[in-house]
Amino acid sequence: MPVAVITGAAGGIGTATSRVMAEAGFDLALIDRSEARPPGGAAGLGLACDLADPGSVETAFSAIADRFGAVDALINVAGINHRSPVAEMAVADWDRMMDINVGGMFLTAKFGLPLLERGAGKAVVNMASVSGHVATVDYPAYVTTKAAVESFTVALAQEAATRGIRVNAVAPGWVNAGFTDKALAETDDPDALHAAARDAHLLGRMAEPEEVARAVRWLASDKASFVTGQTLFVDGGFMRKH
Amino acid sequence: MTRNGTIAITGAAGGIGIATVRCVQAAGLRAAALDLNPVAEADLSHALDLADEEAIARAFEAIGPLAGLVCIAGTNARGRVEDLPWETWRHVMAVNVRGTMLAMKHASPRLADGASIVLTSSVSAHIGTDGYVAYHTSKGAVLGLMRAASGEFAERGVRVNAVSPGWVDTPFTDRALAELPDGEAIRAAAGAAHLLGRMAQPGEIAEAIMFLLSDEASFVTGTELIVDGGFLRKR
Repeated sequence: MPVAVITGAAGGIGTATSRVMAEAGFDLALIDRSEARPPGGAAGLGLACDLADPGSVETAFSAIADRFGAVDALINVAGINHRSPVAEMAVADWDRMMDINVGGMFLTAKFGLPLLERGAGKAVVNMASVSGHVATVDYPAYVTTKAAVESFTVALAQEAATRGIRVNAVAPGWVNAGFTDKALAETDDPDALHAAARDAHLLGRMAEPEEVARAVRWLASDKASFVTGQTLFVDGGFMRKH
Repeated sequence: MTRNGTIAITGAAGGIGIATVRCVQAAGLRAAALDLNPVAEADLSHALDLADEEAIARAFEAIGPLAGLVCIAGTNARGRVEDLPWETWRHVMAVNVRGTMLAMKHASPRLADGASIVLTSSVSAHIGTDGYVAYHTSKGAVLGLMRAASGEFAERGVRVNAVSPGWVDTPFTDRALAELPDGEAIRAAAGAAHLLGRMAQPGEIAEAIMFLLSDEASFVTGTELIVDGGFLRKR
């Protein structure tokens, strides 16, 4: 069976991605802060890992190598958010955002590429965001990291192409997930923002996590064999409407 | 997109077109071809000129209800701003842009709610190749048309997107290269212009079209899917 490594596997998009990859016949290696479990009885490996710690990532990929020997799809979903304007941002909070959202992808690629080279699927999919293209008030660190994800995707696509590995990103708009609920809960008027968020999309609603996951699955599949270095917007027309 | 029904495909006789006809049929859908040339493999075939609105209207009336529309038809012509004949410019724009718009116009009343429209742009919308001013302009215009139409069709839950190929191994490419004195040298170099080191096969573009047509892309609208093997990323 092909093997998919999914970071941020315990979150909304991560859980949905785990489910759709399992449906597509993948064995799962699931990475999150605490041990993530494969959904619905799917086979797999759950790994607790700190994506900001090179040793922790290396250990996780050693375990994946021991269990599976090769990886077909590396799916970097893990990401955190931090609400603070630049003027009030603690340097440690800024560093943490960069470490997890961008550095984590660097580390999984660094330790994952040798395993991807041995696999048949040879695909990396990174979670970007429309926030890499438009500024969201009070989230400068998130906006910066998500733009960086796309630049890293391009750079890695260039480097990995010679090894036959494709690297792409998916950029969702608002997604109906815990991550969004948590961000909205920090604001003064979550309900109003929730309604505004729906209206910000041409399709008049947020994405369900599965809709993002299915786009990830397509990019990770052989059907996307000529797609590399790209960002696929799964944003219900958010960018077009903006 | 429904799991059964008809997909109308303009430019169905070309390399990407035929590949799309086959993918559509493999997915259990009916393929209705609109092309200058008849398409024997398609379930329905209408030979017409996409510069002729009446012919387009008649064809869509005959085809009936649609689960999707794929606009692939396009033409190319050599010429720089300083020497391109007006009529050549108008012909390229008529087929590539107006033909796309007219196909959407006449497909529109027949598209089911939740249907999907896929237009074909090109990496040419993002770069300039000296000597193809009309083609580059037309492919940029297709992206504008896609973005404009995506808002209009969203009210009905119809998604509108575009695919943008790089070099594709098709008769279209063969014809363009045959017009050039150093065509074979350009073909030899074309593969290396992509990160993946080769041109696309038409089926690879058709698979991207199928993704955008399908419910797998249920939250994808108003966007461009670049299927270029890393062409735009390579310098």
